[in-house]
Amino acid sequence: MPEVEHTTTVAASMPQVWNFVEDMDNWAPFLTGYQRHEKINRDESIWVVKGELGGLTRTAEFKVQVTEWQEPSRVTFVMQGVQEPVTGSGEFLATDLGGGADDASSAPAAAPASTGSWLGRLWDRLSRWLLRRVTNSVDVQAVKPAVSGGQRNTQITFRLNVQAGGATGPVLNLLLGPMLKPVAEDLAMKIARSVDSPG
Amino acid sequence: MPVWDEVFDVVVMGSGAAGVSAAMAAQHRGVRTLVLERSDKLGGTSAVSGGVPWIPNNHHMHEVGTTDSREQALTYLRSLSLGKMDIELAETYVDEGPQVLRFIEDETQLKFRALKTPDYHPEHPGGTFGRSVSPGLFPGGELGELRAHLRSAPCFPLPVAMTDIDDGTNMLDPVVIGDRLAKGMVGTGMALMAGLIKGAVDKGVEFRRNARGRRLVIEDGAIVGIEVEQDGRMVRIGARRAVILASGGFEWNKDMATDLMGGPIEGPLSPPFNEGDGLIMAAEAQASMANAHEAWWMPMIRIPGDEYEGQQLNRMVVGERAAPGSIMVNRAGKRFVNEAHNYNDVGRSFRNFDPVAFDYPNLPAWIIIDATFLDKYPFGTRYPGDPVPAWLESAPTLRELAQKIGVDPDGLENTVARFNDNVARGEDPDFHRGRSVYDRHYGDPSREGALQSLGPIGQAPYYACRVYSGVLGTKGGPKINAKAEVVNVRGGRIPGLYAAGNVSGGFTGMAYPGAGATIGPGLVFGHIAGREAASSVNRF
Repeated sequence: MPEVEHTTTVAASMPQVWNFVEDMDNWAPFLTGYQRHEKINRDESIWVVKGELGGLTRTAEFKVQVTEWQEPSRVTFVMQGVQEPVTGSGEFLATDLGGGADDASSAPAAAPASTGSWLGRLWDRLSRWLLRRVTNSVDVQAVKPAVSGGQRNTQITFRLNVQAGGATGPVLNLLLGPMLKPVAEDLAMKIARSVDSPG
Repeated sequence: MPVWDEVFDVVVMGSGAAGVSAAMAAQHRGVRTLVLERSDKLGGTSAVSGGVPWIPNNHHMHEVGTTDSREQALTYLRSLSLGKMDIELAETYVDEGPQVLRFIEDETQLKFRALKTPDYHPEHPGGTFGRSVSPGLFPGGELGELRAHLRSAPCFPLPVAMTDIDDGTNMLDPVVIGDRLAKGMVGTGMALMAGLIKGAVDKGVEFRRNARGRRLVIEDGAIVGIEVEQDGRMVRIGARRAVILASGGFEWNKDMATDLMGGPIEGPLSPPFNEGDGLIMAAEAQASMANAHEAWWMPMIRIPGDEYEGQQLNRMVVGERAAPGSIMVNRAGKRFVNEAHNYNDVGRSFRNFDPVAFDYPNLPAWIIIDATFLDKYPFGTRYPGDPVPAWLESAPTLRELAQKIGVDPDGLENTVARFNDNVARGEDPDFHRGRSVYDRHYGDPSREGALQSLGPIGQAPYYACRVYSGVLGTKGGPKINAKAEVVNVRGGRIPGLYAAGNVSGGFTGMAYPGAGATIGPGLVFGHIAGREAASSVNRF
């Protein structure tokens, strides 16, 4: 199952981070390809996202259901394509790092290679290849959030897995996985930037 | 002589198969050649295609157990002329095609294989199979920095080749596809164009993207250069020997399509840059126009949310029309064509005109299928087992489906009842579907005879998908002679001006002889244009 995890550190307290992340309106537009979203209730929402693959751009609708709110440190959710045979799940984690870290950096966690050795190697090669394609050969640079002295720091982690189903699912998953990586990094970077510089 | 920003021997407008073939042939003869591409991506319409040229009497045909000859090929082409085919150009095409294919194989890394795909009228005199050849996969990394600027094929996002079909390769096998992706392979039209572009670059051809030819520079009746819009400014590029137009058709130019085409075009399947630039420039040079009302017709569907280059993507429908258990009806609920016939001639039937109603009765048209069809066969991007997408209209009965889509309910019920009765007898006396080898080629190979394409429609729920009158590209434009020189309105040649591919007046007239009959003539007359241009007089 294509899965990506990204961790970054922001110069803000956990309650500050939670206040920002709790309301999806704050960060929804940061999602790559975001078109619009609709909150049905606190737990359910509909998302419309536009993505590109091989020159083809497709707009797809997803239903997202939050399965757990654990203030101020954890949110989990599941997602389902409304028209597409795509399912997924994700998690947001916040961890208090204390105050005044000298080096608050943004770094991707190691990509899981949970599906076997050959697939893991293939995954890595595809990741590098697709990342170059997506970013036009320029490495994705995660922004280091500015950290002010004495400020509490919070580590935030995004974990997302998406799986295409149906007859085309196995090959689409080959393409989907590497595409998630820059998306997750970009989202994390933008959220970190916003939390660091509220208002 | 005008003041130039740059000077080349030959300037080619367009980076599709015709343009790159022309450039390679010219540069091969030692003349300095430049290819201009209007968009940011190289490859033109050819890159988004299946990448298959149709080359009669090619040297690969024996690989699939068939043979051909000059006379057999010309017999076939003449049978499709209806007085509209340029027979002199057809003869040139048949004579030169095999040599051009060999040249491409000798001078590039491309290696072709004959396909088992039948001609589009295989039962006509001279009809056969194996004239369509496919390049297989190509390692895109060979293009170096140009790889990022190779046009992507939105309908073929995975590295697959038409030869995979003949080989029985499972194109949805993640091990097969994963290995190809990891090796950077590209397929279909991308493979053809990557191979051609690599061959041209190796010879020294220069490519320039985002460079739109705007106006020919004419001196004493001869073409001596071209004005090009590049990076927001106009530059004048001298062409000592020739300008070769290979900039595609005019299907995206709504005014030209309305004025020149004799019926409705609801959408093109090409990249949205084919706006008739070359045709307009040729008209300014007093070119005669040939076959201007014709196009490579293609029934198409639209999936909401699909976009390519900022435009709604139009998708071809082939198997959906040919597999058992589908029919196509008009708003009267009546069938109007052998749905499984070749796309060019099925597409033409959308333009049938009712003189009394003063109307096009076959527009809008719909494909009608049932639950059994969806259980067995792909439809658009939906595969068996996937959720049924909302872009397929559905209803529990044919009557309700008809009412939902604005089709006459009695007409649809009667049509399906008659169709099913005939299918039970294994025949289609109304339109003879399943009789031709071609119909069965895209049907269900697990069935026998006409039933490879014929099947009943009887298992609820029923589904409908709107079918549109589409075109792969237009094929009318400046008239050319056997040397690919553009002919003027008085019948003489325009010195220094050549044309090939969809920008030029297609010699095939109304016909689409076989798979790749678009790319084949583009490659061949492009090659002729480049060769002749290279050996023409150096004017300055």
